Amino acid sequence: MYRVTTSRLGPDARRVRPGSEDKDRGDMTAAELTVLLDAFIEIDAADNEEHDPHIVVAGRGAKLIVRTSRGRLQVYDVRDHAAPAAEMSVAGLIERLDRVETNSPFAPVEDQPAPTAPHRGIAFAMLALGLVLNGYILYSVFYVESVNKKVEVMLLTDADEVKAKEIALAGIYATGAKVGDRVIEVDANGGVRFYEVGAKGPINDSRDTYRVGRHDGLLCITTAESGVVDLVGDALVYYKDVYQRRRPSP
Amino acid sequence: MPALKKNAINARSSAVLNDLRVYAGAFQAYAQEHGDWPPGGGAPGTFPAGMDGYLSQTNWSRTTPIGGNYQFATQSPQAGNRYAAVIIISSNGTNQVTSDFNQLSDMDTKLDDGNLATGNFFLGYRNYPVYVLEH
Repeated sequence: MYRVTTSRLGPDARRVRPGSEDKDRGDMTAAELTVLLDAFIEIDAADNEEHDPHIVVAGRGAKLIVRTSRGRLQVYDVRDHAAPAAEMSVAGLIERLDRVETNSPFAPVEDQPAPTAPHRGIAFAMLALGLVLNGYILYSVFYVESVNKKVEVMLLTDADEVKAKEIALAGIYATGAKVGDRVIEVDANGGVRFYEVGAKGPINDSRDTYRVGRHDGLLCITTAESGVVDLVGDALVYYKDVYQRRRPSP
Repeated sequence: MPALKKNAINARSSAVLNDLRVYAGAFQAYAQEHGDWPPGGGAPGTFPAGMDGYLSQTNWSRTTPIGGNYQFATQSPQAGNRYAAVIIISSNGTNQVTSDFNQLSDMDTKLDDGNLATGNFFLGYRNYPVYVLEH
């Protein structure tokens, strides 16, 4: 069914009725509409030119304004006033009224074109770039290059050798005996003490544990928190300072 | 964010260098008036004996902008040499001085030769920063 309204037209649509307002003709079948339009195209050309009679028809798929010129139908889309008139036959017009457009925003998903591969690739590339950039920023902010470089030490594994070295190493080593000098005390049970000779006794006093190992061909003790102390001859070397073994007083 | 980090490094360096210049001036003033450096042997953060009137006790004892505390030492063995008078920024218990290479290098560049192993500002015992007042 088609909803029909005529403007400035007589009842049979074959003649102009000047001054008449829009007339709602109600719902019509395709056959009734065909009769109406066939009559409309025969309208007098001079009256047509002077009074601009027209018919508005709404179907399932479109709402159209129909005018006539030289025995043909000129059809306008109500929703698109800017579009030029299309010349149609009666059958074409009815077909247009019935045609439902499927490219609306509410069309089923399967009717929409699938995203093409290049777009997906660009999206992934941008995502990856963003992640890399964020990673770099976080790395830059939180990474701290330390001045305390880790020394690779090969620990001694033979229990007898370790015990023998601990006994041999045990002792007191010092840079001197005055205020400002520093002392390292190594015991034979894996303990080590670091301190500085202060005006009123030891200062910067700390204790740690050690294990015996080697690095760069040197025997050393590697501590849990205080770094590596090298054994050179009968002295210890710690942060380039030489700590001589203190001999017990005779 | 990296620029922000650089700004933070720069600000901390400036604060520490300002402290060191002020303290160095105070110790040198003491040495000029007394003919010798004040006695060393104080723990980190402990106000050096005899420096009343030369130094602000509050400033000396506070945590430095790079962590740790200031310590004045005489006849101090550092990195294989012995120095007559130095200011050390030492870790003090859980108050640890920074080990950030970028931070320390920035300070050295602004104060000395840019090399943390040489000059009047270098890394000594346990890689604590050392500022030499007299060799």
